[in-house]
Parts: sequence; C-alpha cells; structure tokens
Amino acid sequence: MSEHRPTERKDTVRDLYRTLYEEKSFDAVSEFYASNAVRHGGLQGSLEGRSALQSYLQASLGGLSDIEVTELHCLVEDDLVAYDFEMAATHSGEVLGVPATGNRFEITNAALFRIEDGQVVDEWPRTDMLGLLEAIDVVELPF
Amino acid sequence: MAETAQDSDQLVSEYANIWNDREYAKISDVVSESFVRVSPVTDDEVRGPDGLKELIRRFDAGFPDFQVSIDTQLVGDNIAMAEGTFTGTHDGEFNDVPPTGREVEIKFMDTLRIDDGELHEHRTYYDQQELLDQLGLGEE
Repeated sequence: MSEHRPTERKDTVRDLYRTLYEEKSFDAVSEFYASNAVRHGGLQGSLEGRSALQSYLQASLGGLSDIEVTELHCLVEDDLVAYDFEMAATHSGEVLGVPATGNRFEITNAALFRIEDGQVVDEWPRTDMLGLLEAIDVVELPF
Repeated sequence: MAETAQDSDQLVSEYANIWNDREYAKISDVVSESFVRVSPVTDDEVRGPDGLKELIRRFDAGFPDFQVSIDTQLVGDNIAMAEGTFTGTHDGEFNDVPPTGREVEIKFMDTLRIDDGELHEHRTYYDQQELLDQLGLGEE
C-alpha cells in the first residue's frame, strides 16, 4: 500500500483529466494508468492495459477539440477517488465513427478510481457516450 | 452545519431505503423542501419531496420490483458520492417505452449534497447505452 496522502490522489485524478482529456496527450496514459489498469464497463466493454486505454481515448476524444473539464465534486477515501465533472468540447473530427459536425456541446459525467502508487489501477466510469452522441445531434434517444 | 461521516452514511442509507421500500411517507424526513434530483444524462430534473415521490412512482410503475444497492460510498464535508447498482424488471411503461419484460442491471454513480441533516441535491450518472442495450432497444 502506498503512503501517498489523500490530496495527492485527488491531484492524480485532476492531472489525468487535464493531461489526457483537455490536452489530449494520450501518450501520457503510461504516466497515469498502471500497466494492468482496468476500465470497468462502458460502451465498448471493459478495457485492460495501457494500449487499450489509449486506443479508447483516441477513439472517443481524438475528434474533439477545445475540451474543457470542470470539476463539480471530488472525494477521496482510502485508495478511492470519486469525481464528477462537466465536459465541454467541439466536435471537430471523427468521434466513434461519426464525422465532424462542428457542434459545441456539454455533458456531465462521473467516475470512481482506485489509485495505487500514484497511478490508476481501476476505473469505474459512468461515461455517457450515447449522451455525447445525442449532444452532438447524431442520435435521437427513445427517452 | 457540517455533518459527521456517520450521520451522512445514515442519511444516505435512509434515502436508499425510501427508494427500495417505496417509503413515500418518509420522504420529507430525509430530503429538504428545496431538494432537487438531477439526471444530467437524461436532462431530467425533479424538485421537492413531491417531485421525488412522483419520480419513485414512475420507476415503480416501469420496474415494479426495482431495487438500488450502494456498492461503494465516499463521504466528505456535506457531500457523499456513491457507486451502486439498479436492478429491476421492465414490466410496466417507463418514459413512454412499453414494457419489454427484460431484467436490467445498471451501474450508477450518485453525488448527494447534505446539509442540516437533510439531502439537498441528488445527482445521478449512468450510461444510457447500457440501459437501452439491456432493454433490447439499442440501434444495432
């Protein structure tokens, strides 16, 4: 068990969103995720390992620009960090196979992380990718 | 007033019980008059104890056996964040979707704002694709 202080765990998550989402520095996946990290569930099923995580980030965020993540709440307890946030972005390229619409949109998401030695080992995202597609006006939901 | 972690834990579990046991009479003991429950994912917002009652009734109509369980909970000053599971059988109409008879198990995450021993805000997050897929309403 690492001896990192709780604040450092929060900062790991904040840095992750800044670097991987806002700056889209997908190569930094190895800095933020442990080699055996698992992203549980989500649109494409569970993902394990850095290269799967990097491909996912590329596919879902690669076609977005001017991404702004605004933290709503962040809590830490033991090795867990819970985070919810608003994300604004412009759909300027292909996202999950959908060509650019140029639309600016905003979605709200949440995630729970387990951090060990300053890196994410588990992530349980409540990422609403379908909501994202709805926000950029490419799908209409039945409710 | 700041809440102790124990008080907050207790309040969140009372709130979950209201959903699970359809304890409509206890709603105003647990949530404030200005309570708001938001689902940013579906843009759904209800206000006050009466709004919450209507909402739980709506879930109960669509998923008469529904239960929520809290799997992990983190508590901070005036905030609790919980990760949990919603299970239920889609035996009634829900948001204009006729019953499919399917069983669903949806992971969610909640943020709850607590003050003076009452819940003031409940934000809930989940993946709509998960729900649509499990109801067999996915586009593929």
